[in-house]
Amino acid sequence: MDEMEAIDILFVEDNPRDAELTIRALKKHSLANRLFHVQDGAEALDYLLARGKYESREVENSPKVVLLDLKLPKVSGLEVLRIIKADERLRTIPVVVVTSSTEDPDIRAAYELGVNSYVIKPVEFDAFVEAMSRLGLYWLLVNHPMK
Amino acid sequence: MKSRLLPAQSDDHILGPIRIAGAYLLIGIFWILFSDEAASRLAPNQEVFAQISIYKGWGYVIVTALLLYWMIQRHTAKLTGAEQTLHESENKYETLLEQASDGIFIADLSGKYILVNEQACRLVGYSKDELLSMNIRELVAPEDLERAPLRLDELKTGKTLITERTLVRKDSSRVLCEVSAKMLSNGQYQSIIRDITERKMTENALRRSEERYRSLFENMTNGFARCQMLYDEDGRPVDFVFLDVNNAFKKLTGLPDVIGKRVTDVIPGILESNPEVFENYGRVAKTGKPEKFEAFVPGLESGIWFSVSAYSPETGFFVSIFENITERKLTENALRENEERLRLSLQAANQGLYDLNVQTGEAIVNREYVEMLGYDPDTFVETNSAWIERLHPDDREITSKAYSDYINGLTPEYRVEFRQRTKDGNWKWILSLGKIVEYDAAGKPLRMLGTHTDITERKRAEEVLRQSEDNFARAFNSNPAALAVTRLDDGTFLIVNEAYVKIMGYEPSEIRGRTVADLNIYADPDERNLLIRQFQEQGRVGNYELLVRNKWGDMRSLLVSMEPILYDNGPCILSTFLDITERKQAEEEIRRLNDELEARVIERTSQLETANKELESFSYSVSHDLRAPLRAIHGYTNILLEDYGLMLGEEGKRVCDVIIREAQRMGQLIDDLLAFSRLGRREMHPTRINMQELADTVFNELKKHENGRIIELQLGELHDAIGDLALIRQVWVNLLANAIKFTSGRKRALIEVTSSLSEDEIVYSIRDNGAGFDMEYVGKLFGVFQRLHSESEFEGTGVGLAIVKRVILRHGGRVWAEGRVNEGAVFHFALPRKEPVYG
Repeated sequence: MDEMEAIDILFVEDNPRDAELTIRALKKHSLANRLFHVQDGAEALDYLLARGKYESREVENSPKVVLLDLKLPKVSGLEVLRIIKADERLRTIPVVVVTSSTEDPDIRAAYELGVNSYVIKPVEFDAFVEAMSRLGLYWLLVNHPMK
Repeated sequence: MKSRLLPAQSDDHILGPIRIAGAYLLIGIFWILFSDEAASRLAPNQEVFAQISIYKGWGYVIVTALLLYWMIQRHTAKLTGAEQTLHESENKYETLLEQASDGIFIADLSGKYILVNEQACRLVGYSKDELLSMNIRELVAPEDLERAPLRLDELKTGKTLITERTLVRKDSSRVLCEVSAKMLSNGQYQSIIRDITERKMTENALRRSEERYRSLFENMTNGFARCQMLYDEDGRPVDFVFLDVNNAFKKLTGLPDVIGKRVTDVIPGILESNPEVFENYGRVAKTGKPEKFEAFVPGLESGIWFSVSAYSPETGFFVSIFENITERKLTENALRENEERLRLSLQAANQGLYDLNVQTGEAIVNREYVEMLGYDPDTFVETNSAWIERLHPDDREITSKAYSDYINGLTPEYRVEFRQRTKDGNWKWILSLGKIVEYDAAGKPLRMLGTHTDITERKRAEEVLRQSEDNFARAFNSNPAALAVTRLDDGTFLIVNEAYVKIMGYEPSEIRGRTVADLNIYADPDERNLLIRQFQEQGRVGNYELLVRNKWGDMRSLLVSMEPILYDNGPCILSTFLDITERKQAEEEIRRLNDELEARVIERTSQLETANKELESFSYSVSHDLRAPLRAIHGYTNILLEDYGLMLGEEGKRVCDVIIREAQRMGQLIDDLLAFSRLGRREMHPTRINMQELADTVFNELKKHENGRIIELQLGELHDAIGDLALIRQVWVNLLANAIKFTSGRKRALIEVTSSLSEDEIVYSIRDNGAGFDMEYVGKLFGVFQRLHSESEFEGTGVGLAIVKRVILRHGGRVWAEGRVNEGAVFHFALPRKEPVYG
């Protein structure tokens, strides 16, 4: 997908397997058409803030939702979240944290930073697909982000 | 010579004829003047007148003649009588002259002697003839004449002059005479001279004597009063008047100006207070017999005692010589009272009293003295030798030395203790005190007064005391605890024992008499004051920990207890010391080790905390990183089935299913493992839990998932518990889930839940009629990942009971189980009734 296009979902996930399974699940429900996948926090920030290789982007042309893994190389998911929520232009973008376990201590930190929702990635594929689909549907179709 | 001796003619010699002539003249004049006048008055006529005139002349002549005769006759008779008298007088005078005891000198106007008597001759040692040739002036001593010239002119006035003259005798010796000189009518000087040498001497002696007595009288220290006694109508002496008193009288009585006054005025009330004084003086004044008496006159000053000697110079008068003996009386009284008191107190104290004649060895002793020795007071006679005889042989030397030393003035007091044999042959300890109270004229001791006190009991007590002191000393010295006796006020050491010496290093000789401060024993010098204050407030000090410095400067920790004792006649402190230096060092070591341990614990805790954190992040990593590949395995196998299922065939699909199932199982294992490890870290929040409600709720939730199975829960009345609700809930979940799971083979599952109280626990029991277990493996039942059944029989990861055990242990409780294969099992868990300290 061309990075210059307007997107619905910014998907930040370093694990390519999880990424593939997630995208496959979203695709099943035709939710992955306008999805842009980045593999670390730094790239996610570059994209959102239109920096580096995304500098030609317009910041205002933001995604409808950000699916954010917390465990990311370079800049962590929490740091990405903090910057999004601290930025006047980005703070209204709904951010959904995707994590592997309820044990994740970062979940609490994420809520404190103002995350909008979070979802556990189930081991069972069906459950995973189900969760992802519900998530995508809700944020893309049901929720009306502030503009 | 006789005629010359006659005195001058009497008046009658001249006056007689004159009187006769005068009488004749007077009658003649009267006759001439008045006879005619009278005749003319009497005569009635001339004729009668003429007649009368004739007879008148005749009458005159006759009367005159008769008168003259009578007068001359009378005069002559008078003269004759005078001559007779004169003659007799002359004889008498001569006799008188010769017999007079005084010398009589008669001199003429020139002073020449014309008549002297025998006595006069004897007086001056000249013969009569020699004297008659001498002059007055030759006889009077020239120095006497010079001192007092003769006063012959004065004699001419007729005066009698009495003077004292020193005459020079023939042998030139002087004689003092009294001269009575007079001029006689014939102009001669008559001197009557008396030798007064002797009288003069007597007079002088008298005068000197009187002067002496007067001076004595005035200067004597005794009071003197001459008084006149006054009596009442009944003749009772009731008062006296002071006629004369001396200076001492005023001094002794304090009464000024008493002369002429009555004693009752001078000392009011004396008659009432001292009637005996009046009786005594009255008797003396009456009988003249001297008396002596003593009287106390309260009316004088503050009362005065007098010693009085009275005598009577004449009836009705008396002389009182007295002295003030108040002082002596008071002393005497005091002495008598003292003696009486002494006697009484000696008696009261059961003390013997002796009065020893030092020179004769005889002694007067009182009743107690005798009874003390067991003798009969009525027959006992004490002597010095008897007393020595009764002395204990061992005491003789020391006793006789004490006695002789005192008698010889070598020692100031006599005080000795000795044993005397009593009548029945026993020995009595006696304390004898004595004092010499009288010395003879030569100054040698004469009388000694003293006491005997029975001190047998005291001696016995002393012996007991001495033994007790010996015992005390032994107990003191050999006591393993360090002991010291110090004076309360200044901390002076009196005695210390061997143990004390060992601890403190000071020898007893070094420490005795020094103070705590001297030796600088206390590490903190103020601490003694603190200790003493505590001691005085509480009466003792128990186990006070004290830091002291010993002789070598080492600091020692002592545990000191202080008790008050009387020692050496003063309040003292008996201090008991326990050397706890080593113990203190050990304690110090323990403390140090504890500190170290604590530090280590803190360190270890912090390491644990770090480890916990690491574990947490490890858990996270596990859940995150282990689950990711599982998701991939699971997800991709699903993709394989979905996208390539038709190509796999039945066996391929079955293999894929196994892969998917095992991935799921592994996910479950990971989750359980994390849950179990979470239990150890989770903070506990104990509350009161309604166990009945909780068990019921949990059972109903679990039952929902068991479609169609018949599971009966018999829920007894469960006691409430105190614990963390979430964790206890987990316990119920696990135990009830187990029961449900292991009864799955039963048509009708029966689960019975009860609780019971013991003294300190609440025991909850969950019984089922399920598969049960072999008691052989009961020890593995609660281990992690321990399973007694195969996966194919019952699903499970083997963590459930491990979690139960862990939760219950954290609550301070315990878990156990009983069971038999195929006959069901019963699981018990017990929680403490009291809220434990949660670990």
